[in-house]
Amino acid sequence: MAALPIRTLHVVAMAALVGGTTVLWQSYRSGAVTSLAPARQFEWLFWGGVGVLVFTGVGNLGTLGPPGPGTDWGRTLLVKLTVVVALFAGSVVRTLLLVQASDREDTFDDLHPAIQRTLSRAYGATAVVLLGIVVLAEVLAHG
Amino acid sequence: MVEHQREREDLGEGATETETARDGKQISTRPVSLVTWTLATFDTTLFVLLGVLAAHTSGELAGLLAGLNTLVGVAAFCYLWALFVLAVRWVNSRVALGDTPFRTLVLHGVAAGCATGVVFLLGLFAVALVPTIQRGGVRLQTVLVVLLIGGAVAAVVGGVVGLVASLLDTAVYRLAGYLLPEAGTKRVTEPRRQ
Repeated sequence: MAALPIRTLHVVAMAALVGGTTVLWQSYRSGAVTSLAPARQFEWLFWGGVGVLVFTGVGNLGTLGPPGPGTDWGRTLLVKLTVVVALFAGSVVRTLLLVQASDREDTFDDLHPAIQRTLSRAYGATAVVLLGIVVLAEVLAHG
Repeated sequence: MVEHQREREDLGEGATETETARDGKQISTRPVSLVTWTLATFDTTLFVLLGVLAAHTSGELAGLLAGLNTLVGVAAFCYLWALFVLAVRWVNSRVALGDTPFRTLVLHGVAAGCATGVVFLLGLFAVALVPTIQRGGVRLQTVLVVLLIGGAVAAVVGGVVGLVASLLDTAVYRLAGYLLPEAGTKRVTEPRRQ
């Protein structure tokens, strides 16, 4: 009964994260955004999405009844979980870097190019890893 | 550390609805800072994911999840998440991650972890046992003994989780500061594209 809403929430949260990080990557890369404010706003959504992804992901696993780690499916799941942990570890550093940058810059506007470049790379890397997780999820769902 | 200072001030004076930002504009304040929200969510999700990874590698995951109702699982996760937010908020309101002695940080982390563990257990007990007690299915003395033992175990487990979380949070905070590029005087001066 709850499986469909949980699955839908999982997909929507992932779409928001992939979309948001890709837009920020492109925005900082092209110079369309020269302020920290959009990134700070997005980080609230990002971590909310991370929480949603985890509990809906575990809910999906419960519905599927995952096979053991010795099967192909089990090995793919192991890889996916490991990549997700690595993504979260990298993302927490990115968010805290952003917070410290905004504390140090003492303004939300007129961003220094070095910080802009770092944020562009950080969001780009996040988007690439997120897309990798989407591919792994596709493999788990459809083989 | 500006964000931490702001949170400490908010907690000390009572949270206000608005405050004057550094650029002079009025912005809305939230009950938690971005640092608190980020670290609490990171700690919660890592805690759950490492549990799932351990269960999966041992081949017990399917059995564990089969006995768990989806909505109960969601409610338990959200409850744990909220407790982590409160715990990290409490720690951040008392100590700053960047410039506080390591020992002080760890002690606060362990204290917050112990309290979180006990409160999490009490919440589960309240949901699971209160209806049974009301129906007279379990003796009150038995419940008290189980609560005492369970509370002690939960405090120890919570303390260990708090210790690891405080070490991890401090490490990522300092790593972020290390990776932050040095900003010179040159700034982006071109007009923003609309």
